[in-house]
Amino acid sequence: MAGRIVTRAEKGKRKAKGKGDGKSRKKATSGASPRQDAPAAKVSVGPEPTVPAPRTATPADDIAAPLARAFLWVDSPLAVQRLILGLGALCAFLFLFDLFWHRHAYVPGEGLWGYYAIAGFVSFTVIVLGAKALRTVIRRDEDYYGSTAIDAESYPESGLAQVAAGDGEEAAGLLQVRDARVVGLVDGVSRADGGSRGVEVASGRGGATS
Amino acid sequence: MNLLLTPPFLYLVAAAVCAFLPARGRAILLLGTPLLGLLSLYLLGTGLHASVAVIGFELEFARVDRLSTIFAIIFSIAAFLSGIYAWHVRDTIQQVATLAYAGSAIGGVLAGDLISLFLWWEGTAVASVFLIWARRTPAAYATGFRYLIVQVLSGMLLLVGLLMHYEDTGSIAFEHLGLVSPGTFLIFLAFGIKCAFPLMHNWLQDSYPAATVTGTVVLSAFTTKMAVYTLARGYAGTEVLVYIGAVMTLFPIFFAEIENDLRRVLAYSLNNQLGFMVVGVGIGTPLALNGTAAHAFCHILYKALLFMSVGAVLYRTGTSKASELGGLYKTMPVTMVCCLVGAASISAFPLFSGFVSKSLILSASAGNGYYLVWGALLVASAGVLSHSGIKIPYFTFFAHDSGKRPAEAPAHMQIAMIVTAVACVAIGVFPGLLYALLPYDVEYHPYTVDHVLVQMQLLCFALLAFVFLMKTGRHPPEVRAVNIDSDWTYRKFVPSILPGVVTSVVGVDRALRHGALGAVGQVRSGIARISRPGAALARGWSVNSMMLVVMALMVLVLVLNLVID
Repeated sequence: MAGRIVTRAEKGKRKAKGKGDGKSRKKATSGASPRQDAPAAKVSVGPEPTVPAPRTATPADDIAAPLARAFLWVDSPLAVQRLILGLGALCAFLFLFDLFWHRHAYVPGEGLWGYYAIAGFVSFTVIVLGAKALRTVIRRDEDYYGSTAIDAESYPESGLAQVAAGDGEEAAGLLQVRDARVVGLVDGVSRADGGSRGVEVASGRGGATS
Repeated sequence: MNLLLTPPFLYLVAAAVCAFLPARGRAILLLGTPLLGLLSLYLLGTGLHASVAVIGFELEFARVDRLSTIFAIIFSIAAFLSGIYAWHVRDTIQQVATLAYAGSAIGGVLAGDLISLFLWWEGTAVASVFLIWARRTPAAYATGFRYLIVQVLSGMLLLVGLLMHYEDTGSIAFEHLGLVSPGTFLIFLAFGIKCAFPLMHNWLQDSYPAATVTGTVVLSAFTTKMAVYTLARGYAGTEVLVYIGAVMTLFPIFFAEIENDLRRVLAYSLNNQLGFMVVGVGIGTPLALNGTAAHAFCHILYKALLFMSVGAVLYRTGTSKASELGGLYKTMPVTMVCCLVGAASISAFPLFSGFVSKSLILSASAGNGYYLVWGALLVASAGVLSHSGIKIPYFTFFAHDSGKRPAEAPAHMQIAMIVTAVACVAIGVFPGLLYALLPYDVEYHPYTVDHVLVQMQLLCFALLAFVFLMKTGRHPPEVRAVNIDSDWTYRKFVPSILPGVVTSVVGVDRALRHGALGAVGQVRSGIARISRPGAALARGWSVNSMMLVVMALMVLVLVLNLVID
């Protein structure tokens, strides 16, 4: 349990982050605050306790599960840029491949150069823009159907186990992103604050679980 | 073989026993029953088993052939996987309902006659509604009733249809029916409702997001695929299905694209995938029917996987709304990876399950000259990528950071998702495993250069379009809202005009009664007038004129006799 306590103790250092939906963040933070006051009293045994809302994250003590470490680069605009460039290169390759490979066509027009590439791009664009136009006609408020529809009601808490990362048994081995500038993965544009590079295991978490 | 040892009845017995077991026993039963069902199916072997004579009808409860077997197998697998996923559930009602529902669905695909099909048909309706009511909110009760009304309506149509069909043919056998009589048309409509044909589809998108976290996973597997099976059995090669299916693949993608509740996005996506299967049934060739069966098999797995991952997010965060989610990959990476596998499978990326099943249907439509339909399926394939392939994982686990840092899904949910994900990949990599189960022997090779190339072109350029739309700010944002669909007519429009209609009907009725009463009064006073003392009727008449009147009457009777004859 020691690791989790350390994790929570560090919450105190959190700084407010301007990003995200302010309303839900605020609610979540207030829900988490009683647990900050008495971290040692918290013992999670048996079924997961239900808490009002998962805790919110701030750059200072953001957390990530071990597997997520391989994906932290998605928060970096530069890495995403590279991904997009890679996709562009793949598309160019596939487009040019049509030049050298004679496809057997079953449907009239199917054999034309770039047929599928254009079909994919145009279909997707038309669908998304068509749906966007459709929304102007069919969009209604969330409580449009009132109490006869589930849209405006929240899922009953008894059927959920809203555990924040770092609070349940599932938190074993949770990593702490002291600085999201992960070595060799992220260029550090997205989360500039913080000094040390790398991902560290939340202190003592792994060993103390048993 | 003993009736109770056939798969559907095994489930029913298990459901009955389940109600009296402790929590852990119930959860184990949920896992054990599908395994026993599979064993029973294996032991039965091909043929007609469990025939029961009831009031002169021979009911066939276990027709095992290749078409019914593949559906029975995938239903059993789905029941087992949902059992793992629902390991934490302590709600007896849900557990009993799940067993009864899965058993009814398997009974439906094994039914060899229309009467037993009807019984299972209603069984799925009644059992499944409890998975919605188990949410235990007023909205869920209301939604459940809407769902039940539609399902029971489908059952009534099936009953009336089968009675008319029996009148026509003297047979209750559930073989190929075709659209040949009013009876078969009604049966077709009944199947169409459960298969969510366009304009009969709203029950699906209305109810599935209203079920419990685990209930939706169960719901997604059975009802609609049972309907696909019945269409394949009764209406293979019915050409109208090709066009119905094509429309089904197209229209839901627009709704899915702008829907905020991710479980409803998946419900629309389910509708779109059913379209592919219905097209296959409509074409009706062995290749196409193989495509339908294969797609149903793969679809149940990847759709369950997607519902599981979104369900896990709901279980941990309390919401499945895209506008409230984002950035969850950091603390739910296992769920995220499984969701991505499901997304890749439904989008039909090579090496994932959707690729090896959807291509059978596309090949069949191109090979049989349905070029327009083939084009629609191509567009729909890009559409699948947009809402299920990108929207679900992207807006849940990436996109803008919602600040939510929920714990990873519980271990049993992770196991269920990982097993399902592995199955999706295994089918994609070794399609022979799936093809061996298909109803017809057809040689088909999905991994040709041509096929992989065109699919990759289609998907990569669609992805490029997504990047383009996001970068230029043209992609519609996720907003808290609902979108009305055709169910608006019976949920809003009719209720809103009903008072007016009632008032005007009452008004017209009153005016008509008033007029009629007035007319009766006029006639009465007229008669009174001519029968007053001294008036025409009260006067003394001469014998001559009496005779004249009698003669006139007799002539009239004679003439009438001649005319009417």
